[in-house]
Amino acid sequence: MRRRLWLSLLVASVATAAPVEVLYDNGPADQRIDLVILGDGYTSSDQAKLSEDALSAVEGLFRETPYGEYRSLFNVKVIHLVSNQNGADNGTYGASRDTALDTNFNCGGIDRLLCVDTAKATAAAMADAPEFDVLVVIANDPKYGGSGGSIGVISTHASAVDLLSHELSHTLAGLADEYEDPYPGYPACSTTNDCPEPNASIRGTRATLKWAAWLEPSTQVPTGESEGNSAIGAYEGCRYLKTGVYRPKDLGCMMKVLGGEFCSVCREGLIRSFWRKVPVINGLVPANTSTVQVCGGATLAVQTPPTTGGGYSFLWSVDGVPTAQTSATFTVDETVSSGQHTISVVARDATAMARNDPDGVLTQQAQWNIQACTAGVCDEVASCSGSTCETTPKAAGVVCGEASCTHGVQTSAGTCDGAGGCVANSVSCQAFTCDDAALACRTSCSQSDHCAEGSYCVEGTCLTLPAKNSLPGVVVPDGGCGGCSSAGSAGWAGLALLALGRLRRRRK
Amino acid sequence: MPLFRAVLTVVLLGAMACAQPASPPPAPTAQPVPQRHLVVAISMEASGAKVIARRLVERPMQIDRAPSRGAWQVELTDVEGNVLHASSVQPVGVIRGEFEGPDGKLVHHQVPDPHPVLTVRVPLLSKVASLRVRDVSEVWDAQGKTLPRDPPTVVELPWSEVAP
Repeated sequence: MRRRLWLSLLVASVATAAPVEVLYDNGPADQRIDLVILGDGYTSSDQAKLSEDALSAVEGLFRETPYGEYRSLFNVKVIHLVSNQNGADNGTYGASRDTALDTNFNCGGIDRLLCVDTAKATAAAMADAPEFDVLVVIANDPKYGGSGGSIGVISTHASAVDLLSHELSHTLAGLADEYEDPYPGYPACSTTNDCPEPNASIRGTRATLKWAAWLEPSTQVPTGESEGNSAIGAYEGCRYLKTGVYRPKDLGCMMKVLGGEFCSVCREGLIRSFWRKVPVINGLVPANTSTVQVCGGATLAVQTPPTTGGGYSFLWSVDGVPTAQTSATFTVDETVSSGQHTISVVARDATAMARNDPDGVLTQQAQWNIQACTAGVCDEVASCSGSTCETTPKAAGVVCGEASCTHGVQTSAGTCDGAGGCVANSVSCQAFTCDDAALACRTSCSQSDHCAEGSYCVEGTCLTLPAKNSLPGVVVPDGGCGGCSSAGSAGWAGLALLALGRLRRRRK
Repeated sequence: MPLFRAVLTVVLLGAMACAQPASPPPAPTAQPVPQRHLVVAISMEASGAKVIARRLVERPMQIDRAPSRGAWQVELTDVEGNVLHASSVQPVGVIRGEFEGPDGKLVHHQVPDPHPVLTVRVPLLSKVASLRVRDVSEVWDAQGKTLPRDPPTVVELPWSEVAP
């Protein structure tokens, strides 16, 4: 959501305050990454150009994946500092320029290195946009240059925005440089904990590589250049060394080549860094989470930033038991009984651009303790307001449950008892099975599955056999059951009848 | 203050070398989420650390949802040295430049920031005696084995100078 507001913030501790332009306001400062841009070398007549330059730089950043998909996690402001002259020292307009923040090329004797007076820039930001997380200075000079560190600095050169993308990714996500240009004295990676950066590793095996989730099964590890530069692998050469440290992509990643795009592993690192600062759940409805009265049919909801990275998943649970509801809204329906419950939700960024989440920042949980006022099957909610929850019983005889026929038990349709209870009668089908179609116990049989386990269909009725060898004088042959399992097994059926007949005679 | 200068020089050179991940910070005393906080800019020049700007911010302080990769740790301590609050901050003192070289490859430069400024955000708590910043980055031996160490203090300022 882009807004162009001009605010004059008067700050007690600062004599002069600069106007602040809001480029993007996407939420409270403590729930967003606050990018603050300061202009330097912009005279009073250049302030409209500063707006354009800042917008161009930010839009250039948001054209990069994943910055663009997650732009709603950023607030962007521009502080309109007025300089007496345009340009930067040692730049297009001369060696010495009178500017508000003293930006200067040839910093440290390096022509393209563009620096700023850190103290002045920090003080200006604190005065006018103290919520900043990231500071960027734009020097109004078309000479190519920039720098990174505690403050990012870029010129207005068209290619300088690539410097901004690259340097911000160091600052936000701690991404490593993937090139091999030597840096004498730069510490090696710890053999105990591997390289600290998400996109550098000294562990060149599939089992130990930190971005193994991104490897195709066919990719060799370490990965040779012959496999091409499109696959994620473990390419040797990274972090200012030609050997011993691996990078995820051969060529083309922004952390190796300016003007490239971020590889999958770097994108994931950036997304995790965004969520490290920004909560996944931005709001709860209702906001009060401690023992709120919830009437049947009411909803609970979580609010999440509107990213386009792949949406969110939601898992709702009642008293720790997951439910089937999977949207950002949960309806307190009849499956939640009246009384106290804990309703919890786990919201997760479901982007396909992140496969590893070791810190758990892609998910967030929230919960409400509710006093539910819902109606049972034989109740109706008569009153639900404030702390009042009254239900009245439905009339006796109202059907409250369906007839069923399961596991040899016939259950009639339930009816309300007039006192809030639902009553149903169940009877055992004994030697018969229950007829699923008729929802009633069978009373005759024509095949064996009409009889319960251990009973057999003999001449239209189910007979239950005594336990094997339990009748005096009757010997059930070993393995005989297999031969008696069907209605047509006359041998075993005859034996059974004989057994039953003998039993009757003994009782007489 | 030659000792301070020496310590600061070593610290800045360390920061210039590499910002390694922080060790898990000691668990601070449980405290509610602050509804307002103080932002402080501390000049880290060789002449000594000093507060150059401060501002009370009337809004909640952003709390990182996972341990930060920052190699420095900001601590508020009471008179007995108990840590009342701890948070991470990125080291300062290095300016980095990476540009396209004549052969198309990246060329990088790292130079010390002549005027390093550390910006910290801290909650307003009672019984705070000092603000301390410690370097909790890892160190390891020649074989790459992480070594235990007592994190050196980068800056320590009495609270009266931070929030008079």
